[in-house]
Amino acid sequence: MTIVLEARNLSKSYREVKAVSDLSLAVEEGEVFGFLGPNGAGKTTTINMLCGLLRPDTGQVRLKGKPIINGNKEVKALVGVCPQDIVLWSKLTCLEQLIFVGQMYELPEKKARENALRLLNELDLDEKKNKLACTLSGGMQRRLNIGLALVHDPQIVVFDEPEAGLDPQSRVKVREYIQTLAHKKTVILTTHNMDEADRLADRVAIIDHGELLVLDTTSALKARLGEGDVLEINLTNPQAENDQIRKLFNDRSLDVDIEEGAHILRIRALNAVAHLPEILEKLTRAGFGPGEVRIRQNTLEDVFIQLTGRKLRE
Amino acid sequence: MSLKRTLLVARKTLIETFRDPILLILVLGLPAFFMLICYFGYGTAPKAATYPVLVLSETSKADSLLNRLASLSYEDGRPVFEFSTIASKAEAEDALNDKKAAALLTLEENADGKVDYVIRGDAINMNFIKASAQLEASIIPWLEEQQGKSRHFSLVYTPLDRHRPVSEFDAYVPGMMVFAILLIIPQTAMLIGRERRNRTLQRLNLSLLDQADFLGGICLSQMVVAAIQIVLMFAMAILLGFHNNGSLALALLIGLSIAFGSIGMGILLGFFIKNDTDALNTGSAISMVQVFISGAFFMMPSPILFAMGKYPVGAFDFIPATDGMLALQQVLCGGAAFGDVWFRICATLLLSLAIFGAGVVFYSWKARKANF
Repeated sequence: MTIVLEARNLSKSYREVKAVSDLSLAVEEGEVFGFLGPNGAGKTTTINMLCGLLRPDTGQVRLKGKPIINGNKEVKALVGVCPQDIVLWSKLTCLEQLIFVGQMYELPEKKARENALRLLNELDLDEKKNKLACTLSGGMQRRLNIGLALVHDPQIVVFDEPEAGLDPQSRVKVREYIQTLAHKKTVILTTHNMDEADRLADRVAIIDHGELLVLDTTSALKARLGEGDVLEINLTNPQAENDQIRKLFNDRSLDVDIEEGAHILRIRALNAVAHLPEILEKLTRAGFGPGEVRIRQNTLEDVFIQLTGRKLRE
Repeated sequence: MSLKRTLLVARKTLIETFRDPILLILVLGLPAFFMLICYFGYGTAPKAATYPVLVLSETSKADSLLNRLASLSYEDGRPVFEFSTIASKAEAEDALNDKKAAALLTLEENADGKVDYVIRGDAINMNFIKASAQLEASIIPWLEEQQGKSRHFSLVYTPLDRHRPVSEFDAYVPGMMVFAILLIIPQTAMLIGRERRNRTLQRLNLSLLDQADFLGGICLSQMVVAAIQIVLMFAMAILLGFHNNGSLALALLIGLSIAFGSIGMGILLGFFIKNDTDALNTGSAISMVQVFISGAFFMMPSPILFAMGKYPVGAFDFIPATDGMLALQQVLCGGAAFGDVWFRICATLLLSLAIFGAGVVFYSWKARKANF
């Protein structure tokens, strides 16, 4: 695979706060690259440095081998950025702003119009093409926001939290649209939504406190936690002590994790269903009151919890 | 810098401006409203009015004075006073209070057999102030003649300009145009502030647009708005009875020179304001200070600091609007040509250029600081 975007030793501080620390990564051509991390982890700062909006304190970003600083126009035209906030001109129609942005990337008006009309159709906005942006619903504005990142037909598209603040229906539309771009363009996606990353990304980088914790394919990351399923059992007895529960399973090679406060016992094991009767019996006998039981496969959230010791939304 | 991108930014900004009722009211509605206020407040009647004066005369010794006063007239033949004889002081008081008369002239013989000349009227009525000054200026020479005093000098008025304002409204029209152009300060601040706050400026910075394209586009769009303002205000003034003596093209040149400085101030301000209300309040405050300092509403005394050749330079002349206002007044009311006002036009342009330059430098500094 060809590397299209490479960040080397990126660091950025805002006064005393270190937003990104010595971050290095490489994005391959045509992949969907997920950038995961909780709010304030440094995702947007990293993205802004990757697309040339923010100058790193140290380190360098190279796009197709060329540095992405000093307003390099050749490089700028290769990237489309869909910011986390909805960034529109409220008094321009959908079509007007798509054409305007296209022309800002030096597309001839005819080509900009063609691209704009195609995008409006693909984003299910063609009926609204002559409506002012301020009259659109939130979901439509978000889709138009995506269109503005794509109107100049960039090779690399950066989506910063594309599903943020969307209703379920719009979320599905946006997700499906991003899926249509996969492998046609290189897509960089930042999110704190594990499910979104799991569904869309080929490779995922997890970042927290400005540091890159891990970077791999989603399946490889989940495999790091070990093979098997995850049993989640709600404990109805609030008196249950974590150490007492762990002692119950000392004799077995089960990976036991207890979520503090929520009293959720999480047990990872090969063929977990086979162990379920025995586990429930032990909990009942010890008086820990097993309640609702769920079984699922490892998720990226499990990976994040394993790496950081906390849930992603904390 | 790309001319095409500059023109596209200008077109986009104009579209936004003309779709935004707040901006339209600010730059076109408000000045037009003030122009109407001026029209209704001052009227287009000739500035040198015929003053209705009541006469209560108890002596025949002043008949020749009354005849003299009644024969006084302006250059165009209109009489200076229109006298009405009145029977009692009470009746005169009512007429003065009802503003049916500008003044009451009472002529009565005193104990020494001399005539007392009393001018009475409402001191807050501008008509009384002007009429009493005219009466005084006419009565004193007559009295001196009666006493056999010869006059050692004669007073001749020669206007500096080719023409002078015919009506009070005429005198205010250039000021109203300057007022309108200065409202471009809050408008530009709003436009820059919106692009910054809504992060559309960041979106533009991601594209191939550079700072010069963006500022050039904003500047061009506001110059177009200023040109529309000047033409509209001029047309409105003519329709309301303005006696124009100058060239609209020259007025446009002066107006656009002032607008250039206003745009620069708007760019500077655009980086400090938090929202539209902030832009409107702060920008309008800056505009209004300049409106008063420039003499758009009335002449402000400005200490002369030095002279450049035959041109005195006052403290307020360092504001482009002051020089622009003087030039506009001379052109529209005085009928001045470019050769008469070139110094003021150049001063307006240079000062505006300096302010615009400061705006551009500040913008670039903020852009570097923000790292976009």
